[in-house]
Amino acid sequence: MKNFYLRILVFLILAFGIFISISKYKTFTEEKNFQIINERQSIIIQLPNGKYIEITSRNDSVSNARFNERPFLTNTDVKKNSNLESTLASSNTSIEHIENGQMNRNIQLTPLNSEVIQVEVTTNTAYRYVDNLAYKMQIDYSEKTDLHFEKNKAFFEDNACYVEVIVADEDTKLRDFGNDQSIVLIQPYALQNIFRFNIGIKCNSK
Amino acid sequence: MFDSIAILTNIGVILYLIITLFKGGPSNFTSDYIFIGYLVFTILTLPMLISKVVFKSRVVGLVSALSYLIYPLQFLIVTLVTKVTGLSLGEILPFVPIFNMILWNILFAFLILHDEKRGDYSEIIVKNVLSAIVPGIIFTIIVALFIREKDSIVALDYLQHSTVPNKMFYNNMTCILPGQCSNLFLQHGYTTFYHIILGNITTFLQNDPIRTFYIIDLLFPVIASIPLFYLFKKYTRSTIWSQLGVFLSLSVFIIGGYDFVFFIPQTFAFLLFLMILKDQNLSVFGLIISSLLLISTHFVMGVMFAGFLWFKFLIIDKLNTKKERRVYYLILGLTFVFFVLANIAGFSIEKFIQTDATKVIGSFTNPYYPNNIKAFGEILGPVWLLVALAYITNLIDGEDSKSALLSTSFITLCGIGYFLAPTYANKFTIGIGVYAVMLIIPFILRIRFNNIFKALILLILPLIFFTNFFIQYRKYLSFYTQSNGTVSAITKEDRELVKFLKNEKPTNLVVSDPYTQLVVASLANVDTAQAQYMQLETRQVLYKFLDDPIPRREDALLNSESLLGKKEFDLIYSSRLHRSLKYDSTAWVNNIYSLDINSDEKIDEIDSKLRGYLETMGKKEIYISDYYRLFK
Repeated sequence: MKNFYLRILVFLILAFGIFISISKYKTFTEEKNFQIINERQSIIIQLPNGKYIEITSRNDSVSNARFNERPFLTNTDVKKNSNLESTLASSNTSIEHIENGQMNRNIQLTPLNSEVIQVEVTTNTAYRYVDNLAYKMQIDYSEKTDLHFEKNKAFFEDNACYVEVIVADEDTKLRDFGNDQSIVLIQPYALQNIFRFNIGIKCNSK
Repeated sequence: MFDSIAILTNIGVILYLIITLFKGGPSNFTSDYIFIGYLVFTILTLPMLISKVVFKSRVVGLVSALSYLIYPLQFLIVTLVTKVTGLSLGEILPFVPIFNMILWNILFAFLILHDEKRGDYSEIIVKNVLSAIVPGIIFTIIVALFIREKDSIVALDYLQHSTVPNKMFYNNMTCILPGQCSNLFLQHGYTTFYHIILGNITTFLQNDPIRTFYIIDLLFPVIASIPLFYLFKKYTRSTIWSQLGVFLSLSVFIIGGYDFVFFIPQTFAFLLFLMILKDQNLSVFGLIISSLLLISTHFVMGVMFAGFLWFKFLIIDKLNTKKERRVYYLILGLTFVFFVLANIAGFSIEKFIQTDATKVIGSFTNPYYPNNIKAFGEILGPVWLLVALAYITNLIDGEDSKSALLSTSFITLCGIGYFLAPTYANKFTIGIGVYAVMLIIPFILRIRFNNIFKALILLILPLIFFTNFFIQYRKYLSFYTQSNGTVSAITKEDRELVKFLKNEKPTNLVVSDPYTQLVVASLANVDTAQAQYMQLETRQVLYKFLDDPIPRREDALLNSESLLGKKEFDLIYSSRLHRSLKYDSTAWVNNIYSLDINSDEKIDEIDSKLRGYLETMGKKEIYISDYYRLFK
């Protein structure tokens, strides 16, 4: 009797195994709407229409009405897993770690599927707190687009791709940079700021 | 019949080689697939024949594992001959692999003819070996067709290790530790046991190294099939289930472990371990000899495998009652869970004890929670559920089969090694695939399916295993994917550079970016500043010197550790260095594993200050290609 139940369990597991294998294979071979290029001094999300989204630490700023500093305008160390993953380990996540002296900024991009990238940016900086001080980071589209906003979403739209930036965290505000191609994510300044958002990408031409 | 198949195949290959020899001379062999394949096969299986024919022992067992010592023994004899005759190693070493191929054929003939007199014993051996390699051949064909590009190298380890036989052959050097021959080894992780075997296959006969490494990757799984088959035959007593065991074991890709994917010291140690594990009851003396053999092959993995053998001898073999076994299974499970939780809580040897090592490397070598759990899970994918089911059933039943006890123990010990997270913890997962299959197949056989369901299982399991293997392997290959889509560690620009350097060898130590150094050190036998292991401090001063060459920076470079006290150096101004300077891309400066594979950035113009400074140092610029300049 025990063997009977074990046989059923084995077959359930094998059936599940086949399902997982097919689904993993499908995800693996599926053509993605984007390619993350983690090289040089920024992270580029390349779109199939030749345009790209850029997230660079150089544009981060800590500012209020009277004060404006760019903590990672220069850096003392850059580590990227795109060329670090040699034969040791590999993951689906693109990581960039920037240091400027004691301050650092870590960004992780994890593709959730062929259309959504989960992004988490953690900054550790050391500025004296003053009123209304905010940490701002920028996301740039490679050229002017039709840019519009909803409450916690920003949309870039051109003739081939539709890109949305969705912020889940209520502390993070989205603002228009004013050039039709850049948006700014703003949080009240803290020694450690964590930005979490998703980038959704849908393109017609692949 | 099986005798005849083996004899005819062997005669066919020999005839092909003779025809090739007469058509194009011996130089044709250096890049001939059949010749290189035959060489790889004979060199790696000769010890099994020695064990059977000379020592009258088993094809797979401790004696066959020990028979691999014939290669260091031959090297010792050759070294003595050079001392007596005054000849160089390079003059004698080519005869060693030729001798080994001839010896293989003599022993093969002995195996067939000698046993014919006593009955037809060789027929059984050849049948077993052929049965063993069939799943290996199927596996290799699929890999060659769907995963690997022709003549590709996808492990930098080969490049690093080949510098040792290079030094033996070209520079007449003998060494017990690879670091004594080559400066590419930061730590002593093994003796040159493996490197002498690698030399037999590559350097000593001057075979095309890139093609040879590719063929090794294809044939190593076929050769590993033999001990795997014997091991599974021991536990299943069935040919078809043993063949399934072989195929499944080969179809597990472990990043860092590389069980049967690459022939490197740790996988060689694993192969020897499997051979020894096949032996029924090793004596204490046998265990000591085995331990010495394994440890000499790999100082870390060898210790782990030797530890497994002692663990089996001291604990597993002593479990007699059902109650003892139940408690034992429970302890294994709880211990595993404890170490996983400790890791999740933040414990890691690398983080707390090996901080100096991580400073040298420039980063951690392991993924951490939750990525490490994910990476561990991906080794077997959904098969982990079967492992868990088999474990729980064995725990409840107090299962007494050796395969269940051994596999559960080894998986647990590998898991503990991984979650303790010392540097390069991935390596400790080597063998998990084999142990999992050792656990699953006897478990499936025990619960007695009817023939239709058995056939279904024989179909489904390879599908699940190979899909996971395919995805893991292809993900791994992304590191070796060049910007033009080629998947190989060597770019076409690198090949041109190597060709040039073989004809016009630099006289001084060569300094360049770490990746280019590794390529020229291995393929052109050029002395470099520790190649891919160039110290971070040297990388930093090199970058600063190239960016703004002034005497102070030149001094700093000359006095840096990887220059090894040399007061002169030649510079290969590479495409990779050019890109780094042009785009201020300095990841390689800060992390020892930050290597850029692409060398496709044309050197449009070298900074005039750098060019002028190098001129004042007496360095003449030599144009190699659009992608490389040599200053010597």
